Amino acid sequence: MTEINHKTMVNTWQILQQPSNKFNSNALLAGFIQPLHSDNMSQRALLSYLLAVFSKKYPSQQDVSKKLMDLYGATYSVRVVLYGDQSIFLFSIRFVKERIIRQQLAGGNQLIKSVMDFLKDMVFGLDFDLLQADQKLLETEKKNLIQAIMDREDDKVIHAVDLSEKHLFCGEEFQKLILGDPDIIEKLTVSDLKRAYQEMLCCDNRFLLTHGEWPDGFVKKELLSWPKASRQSAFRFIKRPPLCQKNQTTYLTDSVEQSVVVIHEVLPQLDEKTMAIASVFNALFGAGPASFLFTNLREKKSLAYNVFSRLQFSEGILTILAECDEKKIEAVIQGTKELQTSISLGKFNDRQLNQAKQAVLTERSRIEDSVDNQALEVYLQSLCEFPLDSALLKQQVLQVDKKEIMTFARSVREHSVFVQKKGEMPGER
Amino acid sequence: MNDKNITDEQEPVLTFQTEDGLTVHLIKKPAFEQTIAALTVKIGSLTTTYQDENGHYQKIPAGSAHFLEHQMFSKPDGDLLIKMADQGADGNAYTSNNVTCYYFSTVNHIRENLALLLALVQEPYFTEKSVTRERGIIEEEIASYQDDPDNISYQGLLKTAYPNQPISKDIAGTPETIQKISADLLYDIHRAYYCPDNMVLTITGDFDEATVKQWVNTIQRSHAGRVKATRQRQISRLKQNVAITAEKQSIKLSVRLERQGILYGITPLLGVSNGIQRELATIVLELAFGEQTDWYQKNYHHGIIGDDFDFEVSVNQGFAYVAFFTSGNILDQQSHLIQQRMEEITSFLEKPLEEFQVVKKGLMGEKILQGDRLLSIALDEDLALYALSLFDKMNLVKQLEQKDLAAYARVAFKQSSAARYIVKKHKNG
Repeated sequence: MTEINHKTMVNTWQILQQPSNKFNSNALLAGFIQPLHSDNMSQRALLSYLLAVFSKKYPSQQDVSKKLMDLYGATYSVRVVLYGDQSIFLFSIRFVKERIIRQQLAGGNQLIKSVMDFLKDMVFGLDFDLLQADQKLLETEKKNLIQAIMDREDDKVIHAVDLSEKHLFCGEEFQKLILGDPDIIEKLTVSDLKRAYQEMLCCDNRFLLTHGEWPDGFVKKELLSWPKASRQSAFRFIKRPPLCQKNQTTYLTDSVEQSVVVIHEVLPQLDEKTMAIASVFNALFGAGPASFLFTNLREKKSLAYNVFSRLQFSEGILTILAECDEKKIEAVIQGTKELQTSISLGKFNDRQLNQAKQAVLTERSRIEDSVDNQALEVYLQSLCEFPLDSALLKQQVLQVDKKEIMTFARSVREHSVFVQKKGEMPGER
Repeated sequence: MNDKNITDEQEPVLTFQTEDGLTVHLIKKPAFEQTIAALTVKIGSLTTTYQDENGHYQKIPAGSAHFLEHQMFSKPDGDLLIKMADQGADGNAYTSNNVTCYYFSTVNHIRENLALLLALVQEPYFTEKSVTRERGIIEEEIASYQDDPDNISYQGLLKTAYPNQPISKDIAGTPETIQKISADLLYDIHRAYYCPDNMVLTITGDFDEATVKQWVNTIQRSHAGRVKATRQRQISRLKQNVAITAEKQSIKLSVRLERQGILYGITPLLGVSNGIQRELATIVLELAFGEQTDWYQKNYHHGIIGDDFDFEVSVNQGFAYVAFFTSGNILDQQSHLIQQRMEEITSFLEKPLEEFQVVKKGLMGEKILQGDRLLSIALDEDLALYALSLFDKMNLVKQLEQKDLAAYARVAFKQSSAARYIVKKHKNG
């Protein structure tokens, strides 16, 4: 089992170290966290594109790319993650452990130090003078970001989920897209970006997680040389975003043949125990090939090839998604309701309950067998009041009984139904 | 039944054969929680005929290998996926151009799940009723691909480059071709291809290799006589490489982002496995088009290519190619630049490349990082088809010199005309 050290504070960074000798690679996640604001989402999205490819020390994407190759193919990314009611500006790097390189390639000395130096140069080294002097740098990244937004809109399932969330959450900041607004991005200036960057460095809460084999005291020593935040507010746990009124929406578009149904349901407030129940309920209802949705709607009734449910603890939402023929939309929605009712009435046997528990345990193992997934989960869970403790969850999953699942099924409330289907007059109905 | 260690001491692949000719690879991954087993059958969408019991060749409708994959889970006493779920395993399957692969991941009951996996592929049970029901599910699957512009672009490119060839047909077939598939046909195809000597089992996880080996041998003995090891089987394969048709075609869709695929044929090398050829071609292209090159930097900086620029190498029996993908509103300019670069690909490798060593370093590190991905290790087609493991690939990169690549490129990249397929924006898009 992986040991997790407790969070400590070093030079305005909260740090958490998760030692692990299991994988070939080490990972580091460094995030700047602030409550979600509607007025800086496009700025933060564009900044993430710039900080992925450009800094004073590495003034072009080519320099960054060569450096990553020199770090034995390290993978580096920058993105904005929306989690609950907060926005995390997240730098991630994964690289081969020095021990493995020594064994297999007879090299790798000081790799961990070089990685930390690279990260520091990228996080704190955005060169606004060069950006001002060479407008092409900015225009290129604007174009990349806008194309990514357009590409996202061309993916019918992602687009349907994005649109459905506009009818789920209340408040402008929760209805905007994670990648920002193309019209705003187009108009952003170097000064706008400088302001957002300075605000991030000065005021955001900072949280850094290391995963893997890091020498004792090394991270703390390195962080002491990183610039401090000057005006941080007190750390607070994430909260669920506020919800809109219950609603049902149909969105017509001429760009799809097959329809997408997205149903959002609201979870009750969860603690450590009910998280285990929610996980088993989700597995029984819609996650995996033995689930009610898969075996009934897909296998028995051939209503949809792709149909599943997923839990989002941070938002307090259970989402059901199905891709189906337009003629089958009502049958999918009705079938989903009936299956949920069946569970609340206890129309499942011990075999199915056991399958669901096993599915949760297998899913836990899948996360724990991936450096990226494990590190990201620990990182995000550290921002929650009741962080998911994987070892405890596994124990509690085995103890979940039928009555608890029935009670839980009754406590999940349907909130919104969103249907995207083909129509000649695009828009919402 | 001789064991053979085909790689280095760190992470060896233990390979053996059962009495009836099933090849088995065991890859030990200490400390990993899951065990993943993948059974690969050497039949994919490029398999277009089978030999009947009288030795005559019969044609296979497009989509048959994929249909068979769906139907193999159906057994007289129910869906085998559900039985796997009873044993705590998460089962799945996919079909590619060359193979059909069935796999599971589990935390416990490895032996029981291995028995289910081997029964899954060796105990066919098809009825007209189950075939009809499955047809409905597959029709939904095919429909879902028709809304995906990337899929349309890729399929359109293959149809343009290889008109009427099996590679231009969708792996799932079409609603018309799958109408021709019956239970009897599935039995015939199964009899011809699902033989132990045409299958490879890869198991990876933290287990005792001797014990797992014994389990596999015992389970496989229980299937003796059920499926013939048809060593006389003649599999119809294309002997010669098919030349591409250098045409340009397009389609108009309601998309936000225009995109294109550009395909160049690769001349295959005789006597070198397709897996090694794909590795070599990928490294050549990385050196020519990678993010670390001056070519990429210049065009990225000028906004001609974006961060979505990508290429993919595919080396199959009869069809070897590299496909480039770009998007945006200057598709012709992008195409022209790629064409120019392809024309100089052999000559630029003749001069010493400053970045050769750093690219090698990056590629070796990437292979080590890939060793953390349990699922991709289990599903590695190169290991199943050519006994080429991840560690072999790393050693290949380690030993490579630029002159080797230059010699390879002179043979492989002789063709400089391309097929091109464009997804254009419909007026409402």
